[in-house]
Amino acid sequence: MATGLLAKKLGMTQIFTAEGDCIPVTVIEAGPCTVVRRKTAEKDGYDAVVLGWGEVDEKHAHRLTKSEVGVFKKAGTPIFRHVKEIRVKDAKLLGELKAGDVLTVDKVFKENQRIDVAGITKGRGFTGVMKRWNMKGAARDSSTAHEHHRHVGAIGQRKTPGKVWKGKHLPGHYGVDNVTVQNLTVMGVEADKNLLLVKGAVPGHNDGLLFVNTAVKGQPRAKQVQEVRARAKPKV
Amino acid sequence: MLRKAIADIQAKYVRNDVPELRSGDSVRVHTKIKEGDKERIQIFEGVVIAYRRGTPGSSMFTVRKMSYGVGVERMFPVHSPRIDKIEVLGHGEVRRSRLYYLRELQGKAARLHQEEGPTPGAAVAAPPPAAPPQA
Repeated sequence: MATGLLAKKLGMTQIFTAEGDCIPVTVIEAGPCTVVRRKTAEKDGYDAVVLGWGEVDEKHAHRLTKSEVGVFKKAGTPIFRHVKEIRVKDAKLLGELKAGDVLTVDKVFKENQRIDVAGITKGRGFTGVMKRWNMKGAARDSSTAHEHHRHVGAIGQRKTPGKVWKGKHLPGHYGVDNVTVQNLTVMGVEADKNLLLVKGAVPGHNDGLLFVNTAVKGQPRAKQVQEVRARAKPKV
Repeated sequence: MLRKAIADIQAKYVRNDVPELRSGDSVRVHTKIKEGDKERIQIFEGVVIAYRRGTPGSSMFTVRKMSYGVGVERMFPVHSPRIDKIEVLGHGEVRRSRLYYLRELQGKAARLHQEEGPTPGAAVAAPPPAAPPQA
């Protein structure tokens, strides 16, 4: 089974757990994604699966090049708006997947597992240093600073080095960046509506395209293993 | 305007056994407190000074009481499963929805004139039999 899915952010809300804890969750519409191509180590040099999501009518095929359309034709799938390749180290993860297979959210993700969510952040336009780099700004009052409140401060030293370092944090365009939030917890999976409930916030605006993948840093250890390790530790 | 997918999720957590509350009500909130493996009921009694009607699953209300001369406020999610039941003891006559002015007042001045007649909330104070089993 592939490790990830293409998805859409629907918005945030809150749910209650059985214990009564109130959890902020992002509702994500994940999949169903269709396998467009299966890459193998023998043929392509690495193992991967190419997923397509968001069916597009045939009549828009002229917007794509012939080779792009050919990929879908070969797979025997409709044309998709979004295509994403998921590369895996171990071919076993992908199992018997082949072009044309449909991946739904309940097949890929389960409750309480950790995931990484990638998206494009909201655009903030040309932004000052306080918002963009979390600088403190200058004095807030008007007596010690004349029209100098949200400014950047000094940007260099003196004759040495006599220049402004490259990458100096300054005002500029902020947002519309590719950002991945790691290790979010899946709070719920609703297979009938293709919904994924994720604890916490994910990048981007509502309706934004996301890529949800199994956490690269791995899953939390099972409780039993944790307990065994705790017991093995010598008590000081 | 909530999306249907999100409204559906919230609807799952909405409790129907919550009495109608408004600012100025005197209430007794029974909350479930978990201590280790045991669970007990704690009662918080005071005046509702704010009722924030968010989206259906996210509404909160604030209860203020005086505890040994110190004002204590506690906010409860209306639909929290940790609330055992809410008793409405009476309605105070108020002219605004947020009674933050009560924070400045003490003693006799902090009282609200009580509305007359039977308290409509008293009838629905006890949870209906359909409510989840109480611990």
